[in-house]
Amino acid sequence: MSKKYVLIVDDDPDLVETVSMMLEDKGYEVGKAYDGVEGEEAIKERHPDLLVLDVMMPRKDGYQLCAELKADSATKDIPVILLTAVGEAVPTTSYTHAQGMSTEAEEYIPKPVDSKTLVDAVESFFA
Amino acid sequence: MASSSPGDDNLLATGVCSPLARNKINLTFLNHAFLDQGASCITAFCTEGSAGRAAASLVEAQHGSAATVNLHGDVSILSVFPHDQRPQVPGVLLQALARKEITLQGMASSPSAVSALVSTAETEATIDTFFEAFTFPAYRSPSDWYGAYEGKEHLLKKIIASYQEKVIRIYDIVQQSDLDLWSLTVAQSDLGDLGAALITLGQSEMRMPFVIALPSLENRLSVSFCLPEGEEPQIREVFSSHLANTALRCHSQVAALYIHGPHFGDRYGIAHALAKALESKGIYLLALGCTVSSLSAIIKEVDLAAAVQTLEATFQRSGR
Repeated sequence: MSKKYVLIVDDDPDLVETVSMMLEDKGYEVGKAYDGVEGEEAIKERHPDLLVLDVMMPRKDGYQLCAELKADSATKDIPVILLTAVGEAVPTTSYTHAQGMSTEAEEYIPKPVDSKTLVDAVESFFA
Repeated sequence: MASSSPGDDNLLATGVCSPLARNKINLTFLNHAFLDQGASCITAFCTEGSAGRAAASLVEAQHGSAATVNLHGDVSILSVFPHDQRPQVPGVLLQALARKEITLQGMASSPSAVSALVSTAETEATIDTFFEAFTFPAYRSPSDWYGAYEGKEHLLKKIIASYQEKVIRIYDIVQQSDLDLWSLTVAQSDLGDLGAALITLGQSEMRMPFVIALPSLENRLSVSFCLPEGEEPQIREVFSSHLANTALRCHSQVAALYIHGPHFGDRYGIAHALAKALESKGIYLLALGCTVSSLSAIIKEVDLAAAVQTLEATFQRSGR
């Protein structure tokens, strides 16, 4: 059976690295991208089985990318886990949960997110 | 950036981190290393420019005449990633800076990135030389990169210091053992040769999970890095061919601990919490590098289990 391909898009390279190492240990193939535009190009290059998407990123944020993917028939079925830096952890942010909900992502995990929680969330999609 | 050499002690927590955390000063970069086989140590840290003078004064006041504190204004941090633990990445970076005679004021690695400190006046030249030395899939040219990051600074400033939990929440603690810690002191004019040595090590598939460089005496740089244990003969041979007249010291049987997130510069007191926790258990930090979203601590391997236990009690991993 071929490995499931998970694409992580986050402008925090250390988070991408930590999570990708954990996912690779669990047998996943992992793609990495560091902003919304790079993520979009990576998706065009190879259709992921699951997308882990940060919200606040340069060039194109996660909400916009998620909304675009869900509006496109070619990509709307890609499951998306949104990492949202909203709420009490970051009270000064202008991003809101309401915006996140409108993107129709499959899962929302607030930051700061524990790597294990995120890996568990990824695994639950393929259980 | 300020640096200090607090005589013969190793009080990173009380001497440097405590006064900065107490005054809610965010650190965007922090390096700490032993010199002279443990006889003294040196610390270098960066703050927002507006807090630099106050930070240097606080550290100076804490140490009195026991330490030297130097303030270097207008420094930029530039990070390249991912390095995938390949020594070639810092090696190529060092060679690129040496080729353009750009002064390296400090360097640190995180699990994903290698960060270089250069004078703000040399930032543009550094970015240009990085684009000559590396390929960045997302950006074809420096102007692409500038375009992407326009406005990003404002975004980052909006969230700085907004993580205010009493117990600091982190993403993860990752440990790595079976390492040796190597250290040497080099002149700026040796950086190209140091880069060549690292590239040679990388060509033999050796992995380097940790590297720091910080200002030392007489305008030199103190450089420390970790490589897998059991490779000492090969490593000494490589360095003797590239840096024949440089003393290379090896501290064997060390381990690395990486504390990841939130973004290191977003929350004052993270480094203080780590250093205080380890010091309270009598665990010596052999070296410390903090940049991007991670703190990388090098300790004796024999202390690893106790260090993990005390750090797990110090920080809260969200979701657990």
